[in-house]
Amino acid sequence: MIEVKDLYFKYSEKDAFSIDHISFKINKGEIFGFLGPNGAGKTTVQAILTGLLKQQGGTVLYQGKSIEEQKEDFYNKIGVSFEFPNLYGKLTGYENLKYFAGLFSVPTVDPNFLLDLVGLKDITNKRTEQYSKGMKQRAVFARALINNPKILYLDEPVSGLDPTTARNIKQVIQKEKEKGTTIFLATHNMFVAEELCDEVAFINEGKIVTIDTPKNLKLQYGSKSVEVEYKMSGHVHKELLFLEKKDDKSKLQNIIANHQIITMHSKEASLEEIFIKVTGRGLI
Amino acid sequence: MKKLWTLLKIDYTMALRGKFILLTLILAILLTVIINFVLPEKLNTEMNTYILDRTSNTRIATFLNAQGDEGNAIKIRATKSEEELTSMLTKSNGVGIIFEDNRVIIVKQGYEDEATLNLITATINLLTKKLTGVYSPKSFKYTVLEPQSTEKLPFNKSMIPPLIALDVFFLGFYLIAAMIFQDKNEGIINAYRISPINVFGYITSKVVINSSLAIALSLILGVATVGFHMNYWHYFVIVTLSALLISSLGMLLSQFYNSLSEFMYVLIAFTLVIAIPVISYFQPSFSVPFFKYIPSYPIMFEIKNIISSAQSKEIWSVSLLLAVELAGVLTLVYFTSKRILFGRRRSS
Repeated sequence: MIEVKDLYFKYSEKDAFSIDHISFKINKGEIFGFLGPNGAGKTTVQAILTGLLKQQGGTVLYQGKSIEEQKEDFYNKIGVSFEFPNLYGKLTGYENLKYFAGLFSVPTVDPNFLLDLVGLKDITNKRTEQYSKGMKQRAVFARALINNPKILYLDEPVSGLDPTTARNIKQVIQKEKEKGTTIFLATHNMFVAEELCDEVAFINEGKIVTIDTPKNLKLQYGSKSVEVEYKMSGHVHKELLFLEKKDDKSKLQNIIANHQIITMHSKEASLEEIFIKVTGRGLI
Repeated sequence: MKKLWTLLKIDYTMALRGKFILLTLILAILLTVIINFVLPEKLNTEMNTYILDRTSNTRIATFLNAQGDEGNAIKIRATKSEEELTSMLTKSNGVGIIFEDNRVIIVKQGYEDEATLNLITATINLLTKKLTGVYSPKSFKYTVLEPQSTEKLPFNKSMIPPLIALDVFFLGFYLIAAMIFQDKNEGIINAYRISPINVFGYITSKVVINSSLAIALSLILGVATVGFHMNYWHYFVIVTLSALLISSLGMLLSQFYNSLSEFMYVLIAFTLVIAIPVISYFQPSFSVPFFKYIPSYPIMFEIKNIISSAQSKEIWSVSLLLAVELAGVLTLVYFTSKRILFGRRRSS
């Protein structure tokens, strides 16, 4: 469905690559998670895939047709939810969606239904300048669904939302997938990715470090991990070590031999822990 | 059409809630009040001339008294002493002339322009010629080159053309820029760019809504100050073309900037350019051929002709000039918007 080959991008000649020769494929109807910390290049990739940014090198193909060749009809088929909400503040939530719907040449969804879906039913007639950031984000998410998109781009869709609202949004995303929508999900929230994605790509400093299903990643990195708590110089330290990695294995042997062990047990690593292990940095 | 209609509804609602429409109405009422009730129909330009005749047999005073000043712009008042003349000059607008046998002393206020002083000198020369019998015309007749086009407008009505020119600029140029910056700052442009919007619709909607404000103001002002004694069809054509042109110019320039503060320099420069022809309007001798291509110039002079019900021969040629300028600017707006506002960017 979507095929990206050797894509690269830099914001200026002097800068390092923001996107450094990345390649991936997204199959129809799957949720593809693009995971990485802030500034890793997730939003830049989404901007290139949606045509907001001009690609400098590599190819982006939609069913074999380049993004550069896509015409007006392409935008009838996609929905985009931005990380930073962009709504007309002087229009109500309902008006923002209703007017946006008027720009499409395909059947659209009832704005009230969508606003209800994301928990904004009670404030549909309130101007969005009076919404909180989370409310605006949900309104933008609802707007992305207005044209029944075949491809959905979501940039940090649950960032900053309370757990209940985040769960509702995740359910909506899951329902979209069940309808056959292909979803590109850019996030730094590994729990969301773990819960929703069929396949995930770890992106760090513009490069894709690894791509696989969450299950395979866990099998590959997480099944033989040990969490150990030990005392060193009077302080308690905690480490997650992957026994398949030589360095980790010898580190564990060193801890057992030279320090007082408080607790030690095998555990399945989370995607976040795997990300840290693979990239050497956290997700924030 | 559905998309254009949607965009028009959005921009109309934004103009309404952004108080642009309220501002237009307030401006129309304010200008109507100023023209109808604050500015006089006639400016008092009467100038008193106080004379003191110190010639041997006071023949100047005798001659001037015999002539009378009925209908003259210059009212002549005789004084008996230099003290009285000075006292009169301190109390009212005017100049003093002291006639002596061998010279004439002109006592001025200090702010008279060269033309006024030359007029006084010429009058004295003529007076001398009349007194000595060198030149003695029986009567004066005034003829004008184009009688239809010089029907004099009352002073307050003569202010309508420059006010309309400047308001069309303010509403069209300034407010469309404000709308563009709002779309940029709220990120709306990005939302549009991932929708199947067409650039033409976006431009048309913005230009039409902002021009409508300027047209509405001009029509309200026309009806409220001039009434129905003018050709509203001609008035509508000129005002509409001008408003569309100025709005398009506002859109063309504002898309290169991100905020009103960045745009301020352009706004000031453009305001100055637009205002230059106002000088020509009040001082027709100050006119340079290229002024005709500054939109405010044809707007002012054509509206002046229309308001004074003169049979202007230039209405259609001026309309054509404005239409050609509009077509050129709109073409530029289309290509620049496609590239700057809606094109794939090279950076975020």
